[in-house]
Amino acid sequence: MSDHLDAELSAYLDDELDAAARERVEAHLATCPECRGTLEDLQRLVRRAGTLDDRPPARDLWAGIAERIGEQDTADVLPLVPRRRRFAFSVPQLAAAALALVTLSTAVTMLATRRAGAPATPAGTGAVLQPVSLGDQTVRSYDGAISDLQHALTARRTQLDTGTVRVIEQSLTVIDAAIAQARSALARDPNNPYLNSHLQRALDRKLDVLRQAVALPVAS
Amino acid sequence: MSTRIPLCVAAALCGAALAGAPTAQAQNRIDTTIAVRGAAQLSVTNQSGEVHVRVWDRTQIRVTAEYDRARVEVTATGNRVSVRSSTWRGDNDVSYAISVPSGTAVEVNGVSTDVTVSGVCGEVTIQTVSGEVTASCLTGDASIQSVSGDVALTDVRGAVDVGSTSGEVVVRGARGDVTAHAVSGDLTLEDITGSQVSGETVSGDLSYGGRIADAGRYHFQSHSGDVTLRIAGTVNATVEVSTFSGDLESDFPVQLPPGTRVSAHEWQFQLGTGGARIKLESFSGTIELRRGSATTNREE
Repeated sequence: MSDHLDAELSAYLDDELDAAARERVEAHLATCPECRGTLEDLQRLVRRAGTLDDRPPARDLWAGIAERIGEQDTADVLPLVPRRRRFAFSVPQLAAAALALVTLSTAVTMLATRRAGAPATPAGTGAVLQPVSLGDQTVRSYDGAISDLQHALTARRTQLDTGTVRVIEQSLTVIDAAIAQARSALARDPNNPYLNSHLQRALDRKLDVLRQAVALPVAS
Repeated sequence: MSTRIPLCVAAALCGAALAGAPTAQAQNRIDTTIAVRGAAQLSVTNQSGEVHVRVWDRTQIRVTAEYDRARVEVTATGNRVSVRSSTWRGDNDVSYAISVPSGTAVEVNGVSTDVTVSGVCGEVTIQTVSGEVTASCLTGDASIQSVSGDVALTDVRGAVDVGSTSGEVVVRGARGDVTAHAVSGDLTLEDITGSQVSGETVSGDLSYGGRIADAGRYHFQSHSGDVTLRIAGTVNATVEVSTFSGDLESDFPVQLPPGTRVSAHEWQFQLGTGGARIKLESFSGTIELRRGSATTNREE
C-alpha cells in the first residue's frame, strides 16, 4: 500500500485542508519527491484546465472505479448514497478536462474533414470545400494533452499494479505505432480525409487509454 | 424518503468479518437476504475475487460472500443495496454470489475481479481492470469495460457498450445497438440484429456476423487488423471502404456507380437498394465482405 498523498494533494491544491492537515502535507512534500512531482503535474493541469470549457467527456469509464475503490473507508457502515466529490482538480478530472480540450479544439476540424469527404456541394453556390488536414493547432492540442497525461501516469506508476502498467504500456506502444504509420502516410497525402480521420481516432484512442490509466485505482 | 433496512445486520456482518479477518486460515462466510420492492439497485465493489450475479424469482436480494482476509459491508436503503469489500494486506479475494430480482439495475466495480452476470433485465454496468467478464441474457442496456480481461456477452437485448484494452471482446446474440472497442484485442460480434453497430480496434481483428437492417448504420474500423463482415440474408446497403495499404475481398459484386471518382484508398458501392450504410476501414489490414452462413447468423 502506498504512503503517498494522492487524495490530500487535490484538497491541498484547492486550499481545502485545515491547518493541521496542511502542515502534515507540507511536511510530507518536503521529504517526498514523488509527491512533489505529482503536485507539480496537478498544478500544470490546473493551469491548462483553467482555460477550458469544463465539458465532461463523452465516455468516462473509470471515474467510478477510482472514486469507489480508491477510497479506503474506515466506517463500519458505508454511506447509503455514494459520495460525490464536489468539483475539485483531482487527477482523473483534470485528465478528463484535458480530453475535453482536445475534443473542443478538434470539433471544427472534424466537421471540416467530414465535409471534405462529401461528394457534392450545394447547387448554385459555386462553393467548393477543400480537403482539410488535421491542423497544426489540433496536433499541438493533442500533444499537450497527451504529454500532461503521461506525466500524471508516470507519477502514479509505482502505485499501480505492475501487470496493469505493463498492459497499458504495451497498448500505448501499439497505438503509437499506429499514429506513426498514419502520420507517415499523411506526409505523402496530407489532405486525404480518411488518413486525417484515422490519425485523429488513433490520437483519441491514446488519450482514452491514458485517461483510463491515470484514473485506475491504487494497487493493494 | 430512504430507510436503512439492515443496519443491525450490516453491523453484525462487519463485526463477524473483522473478528475473522486476522486469521490467515480462517474462511469467513456471510449470507444475508434483503427485501426490496419494485425496481431495485445493486452496487458491488470488490477489489479482487469474483462476483456472480444471477436472477431469482423473489423480491429479495441475497448476498453470500466468502473470504479470508477482507472486510465486507452490506448496506441498504430503500431498494438500493450496496456491497463493498475493504482490503487487508495479503489475500484480499472475496467471492460473492448474489441473487437479485429480474429487473434489478446492477453495477459492479472491481480491479482483479472476475464478474459473471446472468438474466438481469435492469441496466448493467461493469468495470474491472484485469478481471474477466461474462454476461448473458441481459434485457436492459449494458456498459461493460475491462483493461486486460476478456469480455464475453451472450444474448443481449438492450444497447451495449463494451470494451477491453487488451482483452478479447465477444458479443454473441445482440438485438440492440452495439458499440465495441479494443486496442490490441480482437472483437467478435456474432448473431447481431441491432441496427446501430460499431466496432473499433487498433491491432486486433474485427469480425461481424449478422443481418444488415435496411436503415441500419454499421461502422467497423481497425488499424492493422483485418475487418470481416459475414452478412446473412438479403442486404441493401451503401458500402464505404477505406484503407491505406490493405485489401478488399468481397463475395458480393462491387460495382462502382457511373461517374464515381475512384480513389486509391476509398471506394463506395451499393448492394441491393442501398438503404443501410456500412463503413469499413482498415489502414493496413484486409477487409472482407462475406456471405454469412446459417450456422453463424440468425435469419429473421
